Amino acid sequence: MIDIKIIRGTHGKIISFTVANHGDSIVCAAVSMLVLNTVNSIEKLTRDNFTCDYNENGGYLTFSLTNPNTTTEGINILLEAMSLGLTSAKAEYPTEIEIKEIKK
Amino acid sequence: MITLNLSFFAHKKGVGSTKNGRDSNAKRLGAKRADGQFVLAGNILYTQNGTKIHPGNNVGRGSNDNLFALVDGIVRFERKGRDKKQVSVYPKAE
Repeated sequence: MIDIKIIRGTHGKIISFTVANHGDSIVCAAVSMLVLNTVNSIEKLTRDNFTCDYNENGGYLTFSLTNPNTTTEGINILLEAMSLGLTSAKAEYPTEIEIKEIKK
Repeated sequence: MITLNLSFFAHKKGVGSTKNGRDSNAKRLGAKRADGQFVLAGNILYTQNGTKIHPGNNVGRGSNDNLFALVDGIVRFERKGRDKKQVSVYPKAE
C-alpha cells in the first residue's frame, strides 16, 4: 500500500506532499512516474523554490514549497495534475493507494 | 533531476537519503549598461552586493550598492588602482 499525504494551504493550493511505502503492482510504477515526473517538471519548468527529500533507494519522497504563499500558476497546475492522477489511480486501485488530504 | 525509476515505490529495502531543490531566486546582478552606451541621469548601471565595481566620475552608489548615473552621458568601465574597477559617465561633448 502506497501512502500519500497532500497538504493544502489556507488558500486551498497544494503546498507540500509526501509519498511513502511500496506497492506491488503496476500501480507503483504509475505512482513513481507521476510523482517523480512532477518534481522533475517543477525543477525544470518553473522557478519556484522548493525542497525535496527522498530515499535514494525509493519508498519515500517528501516535497514542500519554500514560499507557499507566492507560487506561480504553473506550479499549481503541475501539483493539481499530479493530485488528479493519484486520485484517479486510487479510484481504480483502492487497495494499492491511500491518499490523505490535509488542509492547513 | 531525480532519476525516473518506475520501481521507486516498489517493494525493496534501502537506506540512505538525499535532497535536491532550489532555495533562492537568482538575483540577476551585474552590469545593466554596456561600456560606451549612452545613459540618462538616474539609469542603473550595475547591480551588486558590496562594491565589486566602484562608483567613478558622475556615478552614485545607492544604499543597496547599485551604481547609477548622476548625469546624461556615455558609460565607461575603467580600472581603479591595481586591482579594482570603477564605472564612470562622461557627458557627451556638445
